[in-house]
Amino acid sequence: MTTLVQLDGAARWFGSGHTEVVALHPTDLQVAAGELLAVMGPSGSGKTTLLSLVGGLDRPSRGRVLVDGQDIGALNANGLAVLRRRTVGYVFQDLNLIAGLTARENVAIPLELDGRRPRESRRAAHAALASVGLASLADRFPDDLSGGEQQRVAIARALVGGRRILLADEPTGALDSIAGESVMRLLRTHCNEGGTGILVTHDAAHAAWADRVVFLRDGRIVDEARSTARHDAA
Amino acid sequence: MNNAGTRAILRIARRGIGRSRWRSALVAVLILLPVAAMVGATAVLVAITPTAEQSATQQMGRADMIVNPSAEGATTAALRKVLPAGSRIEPFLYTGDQLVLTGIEASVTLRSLDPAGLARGMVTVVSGRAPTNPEEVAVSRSVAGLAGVGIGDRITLKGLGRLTVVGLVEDRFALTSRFVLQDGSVARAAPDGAVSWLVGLPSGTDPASLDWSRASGPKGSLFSVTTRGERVSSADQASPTIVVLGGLAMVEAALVASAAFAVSVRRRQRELGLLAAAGAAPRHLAGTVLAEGLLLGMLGSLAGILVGLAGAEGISPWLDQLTDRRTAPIGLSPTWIGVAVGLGVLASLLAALVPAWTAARVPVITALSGRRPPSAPAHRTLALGIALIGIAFGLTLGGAALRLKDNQGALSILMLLGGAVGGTLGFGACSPWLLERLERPARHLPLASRIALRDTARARSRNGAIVTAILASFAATVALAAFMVSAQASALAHWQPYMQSDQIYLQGNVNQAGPDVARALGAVAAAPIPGLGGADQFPRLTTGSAAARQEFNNVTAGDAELLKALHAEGAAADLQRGSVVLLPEKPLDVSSATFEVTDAQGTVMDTTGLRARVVATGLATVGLPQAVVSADTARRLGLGVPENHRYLVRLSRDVTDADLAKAGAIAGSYPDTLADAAIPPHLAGEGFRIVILVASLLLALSVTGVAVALGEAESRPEQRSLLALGAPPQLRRRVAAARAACIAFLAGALAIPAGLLPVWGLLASRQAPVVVPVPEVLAALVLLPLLATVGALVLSRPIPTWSAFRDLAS
Repeated sequence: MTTLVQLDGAARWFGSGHTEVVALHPTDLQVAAGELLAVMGPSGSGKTTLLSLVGGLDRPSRGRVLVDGQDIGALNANGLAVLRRRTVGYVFQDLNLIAGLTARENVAIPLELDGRRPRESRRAAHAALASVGLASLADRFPDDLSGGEQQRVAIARALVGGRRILLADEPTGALDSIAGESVMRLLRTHCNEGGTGILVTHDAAHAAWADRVVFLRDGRIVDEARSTARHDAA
Repeated sequence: MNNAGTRAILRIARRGIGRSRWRSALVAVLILLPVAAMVGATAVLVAITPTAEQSATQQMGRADMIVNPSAEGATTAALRKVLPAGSRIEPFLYTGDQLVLTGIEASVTLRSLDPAGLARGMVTVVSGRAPTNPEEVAVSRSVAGLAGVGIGDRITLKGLGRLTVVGLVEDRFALTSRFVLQDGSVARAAPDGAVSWLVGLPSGTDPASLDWSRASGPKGSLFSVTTRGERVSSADQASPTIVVLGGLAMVEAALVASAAFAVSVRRRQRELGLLAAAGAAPRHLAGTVLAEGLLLGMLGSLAGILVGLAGAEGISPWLDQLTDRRTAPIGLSPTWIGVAVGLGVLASLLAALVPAWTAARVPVITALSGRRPPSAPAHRTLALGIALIGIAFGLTLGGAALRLKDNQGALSILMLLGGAVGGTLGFGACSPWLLERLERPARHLPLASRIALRDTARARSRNGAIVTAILASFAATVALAAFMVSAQASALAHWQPYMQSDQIYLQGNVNQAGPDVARALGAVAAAPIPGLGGADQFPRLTTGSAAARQEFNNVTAGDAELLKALHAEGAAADLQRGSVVLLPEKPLDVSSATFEVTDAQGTVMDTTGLRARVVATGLATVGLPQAVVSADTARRLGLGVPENHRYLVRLSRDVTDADLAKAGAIAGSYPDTLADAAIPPHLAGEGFRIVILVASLLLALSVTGVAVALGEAESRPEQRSLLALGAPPQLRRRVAAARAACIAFLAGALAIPAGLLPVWGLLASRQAPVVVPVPEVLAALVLLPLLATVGALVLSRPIPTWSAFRDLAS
C-alpha cells in the first residue's frame, strides 16, 4: 500500500541551551493511503507538534518528514504553502472558519488561493459542502452555523480540490457526541475512499474509528495498536 | 454593588490591563497625548501671559493710580488739590531721542523715573545702578549692544549730549525695547503738560472717592486717570480656547479608545461569560470594563500631566526670547491639574461606556461559546445620524439667520458651533450603516478585499467610532480651508484697486527712495507725482455741463514719463501741447475742461479753460492722479509745485509680493517712507493650510492605523486558518491595506459635507457663497485613502509563522 506520510527520525525542539524544550523526540512513523491514524496522549505529549510537521506548518529540527513524497524540510515557504493548498487539509478544534466569509467562500479559499477561477472554485466548494451534507447552508456565515456544522465546513474545506491527506487536531473537542460522531464519519469516509487521515484526539471512542492508534508521551511514541473496531462510514 | 463586588471588579480590571499590556498602553497613550498637549499648552500660556497685577505694575509700578494731563492747566499743583493729604506724587516722563553712532542715528526712548520709588517694577535694574543725576543714564541691553557700550562707558544722545552709562536696565515686558533710563529729576524738572504722574494714596483711601471735578478747566477735566483697581479688576481668565480645544481632543481620543475597548470586550467575552455564569450581574460585567476605563484614564491623565509639564519645561528656556518678556516659571495650579485629570478620566469613561453596555448585554450562553454577539442594527444609528444632521442643519440655518440680523450675537455663534459639532457626529453616526452596505458588494471582490470589507462591515460599531474620529479631524480641515478660500473669493469679488497691477506707489521721502526702487526693480517708467498749488491754492478740474458735471480733484504736474507710469503714454503729445490729460475710470466724451483754483473755504479764485485728452483707467477707486498737466501749463496757470512726497513706479510685469517687499525694504531705509502696490487679495495662510492638512492627515492615518491594528489583533485565529490553508503570508498585508483604504475613504468622503455645512452657515450669514477647497477635498477622497493603503501595506506584517499560533493550538 502507498505510504503518503513518512517520518524518518523527525524531531522538533524549541529554544536552546537550558531553555530547550523537546516537543518531539526522533520519531519514525508511516501512514499509508486509505489509513486513518489516531494519535493519543496527554497534554504536552507532542501530538499537535507531530500534526503541524505533517501539515507543513512547521519544519523538523532533525530528521525528515515526507508528505506525498515531498520532503517538508526541503520545501521553501512557497512550497509549503502549495503543499497545504493541494495535498494536506487541516482541521482545528475550533475557530476554523473566517468569520467574514460564507461557508461556501470559506471552502473555496484554498482553490482561490491556488489561482482557480472564482466560479470554478465556488462550484467545487458547493460540491464539497454537499459531500458533508451542508449544501443548503452554503450561503450562511460561520456565526449562523452550529459547532458541528462549522467543523463539517472545515472538513469540506480541508478536502476540497482533491486533497488526499486530512489532518484533524481534536476536531470533535468542542462538539456534542452526535455532532462529534458525524465528523468522525466524514473522516472515515475520506479514508475509505483512499485518502489518509491523522486524527489527534483524547477520546478513545473517537480513536476507535481509526485503523491504527499511536500513543505519545513526553514527545515519544510509547505504544501502537491496531484498532479492532470497525465503524460503518455510511 | 457592595464593597467586595467593587474590589473584585477593580481587581479584574487591573489584571485585564496587565494581561493586554499593548492594548492598555495604546488606550493610555490616546488619553495621555491630548492631556499632555492641553497641560503643556496651558502651562506655557500661564507662564507667558502676565497677570492683571503684573500688567498694572508694568504700567504704574506700585502706584495706586496713573494720571495723565488731558488739558491745559494740568499741573502738579492742580493735581495736589484733588488728592488727600499724605498722597505721594512722582512725575515720570517718556520721550524720544536719537542715539548717535558712527555714521548713523538710532531712535531710542528716554524714560525718566525713579525705579526705587512708586515706579518700582516699571523698569528693573539688572546690573550697575540707577542714574542719580542728569549726566548719568542706565541703558537697556539692546541699546548697550547697539552702541557697544558697558557700565562706565559713555553714549551720545542727539538732544542730551554725552552721558555716562551707570547701569543696565530692562523692561520685563519688552525685553528688546530700546530705551535709556534717566534720573527721576529730569521728569521733575520738565514743564507741566509734558509729564504724567504716579500717585500713591494714603492707606485706606478709596480712589473712587476722589472728587475730580475740583480739577476741571474750561474744556472739562484736566486729567485722565487710571486706577490700579481698574487694571486688576480684569481678573485672570483661564483661556476658554484651551478648554474647548482640549475637550475636542478628548472627544477625539474617546472615539478612538472606544474601538480599543470594544476589541478588549470581544477578546474577553468568554471570561465575561464565565463571570456571568459565576453569578455576576450585567452591572458587574459593565463595571469591569468601566473600571478598566477609569484606571487607564487616571494612568493616562497623570502621565499626560507629567509629559505636558516636562514638554513645557523643555521649551521654557526659549519662552523669554519668543515672547520678548520675562515669563513666569512653568507650573500649574491644582485647578488646572484637576481639569486635566477630569477630562482624561471622562474621555476614558466615555470611551468605555458603549463597550461596557455591550458587554453587559451579551447573553451568557453566547459569551461562553465565544461566538460574536449579533451586532446592533445599523439602521438605529442611521436614524440617529439623520436626526443629528437635521438638527445640525437647522442650527446652522438658524445661526446664519440670527447672525444676519445681529452680527455680534453670541447665540448665533453657539448655534453655528452646535451645527458644526452636530453635523460631524451625525455623519459619524451614519457610518455604521454605510459600513454595513459594504458587505454585499464584497462578494465580487478578490479574497483579501472581501475579507477586509466583510470584517469592516461586521465590526461596524467599532469602526463607526474610528470613522467618526477621522471624519472629525478632516471635517475641521475642510471647514477651515473652505472658509479661507471662500473669504478670498469674496474679497476678490469686492476688490477695487486704486492703481494698476504693475505699479508701485511710494509716499514720504521719495526723492531718493523712488529712483532707488525703480532701479532695483528694473522699472519701465518712474516719475514723481508732485502736488499742485500751495497752502491757499486748491486746484480742481471739472468737465461737462452742470447736469453732468464731473470733478477731478487729484491734479498733478508731470511729463511723458509720468504718463507712461500712469498707462497714459498715448497722451504725451497732447500734454506737451498744453492739454490736460484726464484719467477717469470710464471713457468720457469731452474735449475740454475747466481749471479752477479755490481757497481753503472752496471759493473759486480763478478759472481757466483747457483742452482735454481723456484716457480711461478702469480704476474705480481714487488714489493716483486724476488729471495731469505739464509743468509749463502749471506755471502758466500760476500754480506752485510744493515739495514732492509721492512717486510712481511702473514695472514690465505685475507686482509680486517679493517686489513689494523689496520696495518696502528700500523705502523703510528712509524715514517715514512707505511703498504700496495693488496686489489682488490672495490666499493668506497657505502655509497654515498645508500644516493643518498635514496634521489632519497624520492624525487620520494614526487613527486608521489603530483601527487596522485592532482588526488584525482580533483576527489571529483567522490568520492561523489562512496559514494552514496555504495562504501567502502577504495576504494579511493586503487585508490590512483594504481595511485601511475602506475606513479612510468613507471617513474622507463624509468629512466633506460635515466640513462644508458649518462654513455654509457662516458664509450665508455674510451673504457670501461657499467655495469648495479642491486640494482638501481631493486629499480627503484620494490622498487619505491612498496613504492609508500604502501605510498599511508597508507597516503591517505578513502572516507569522506557525510558532506564533501555538497558544491557539488545541
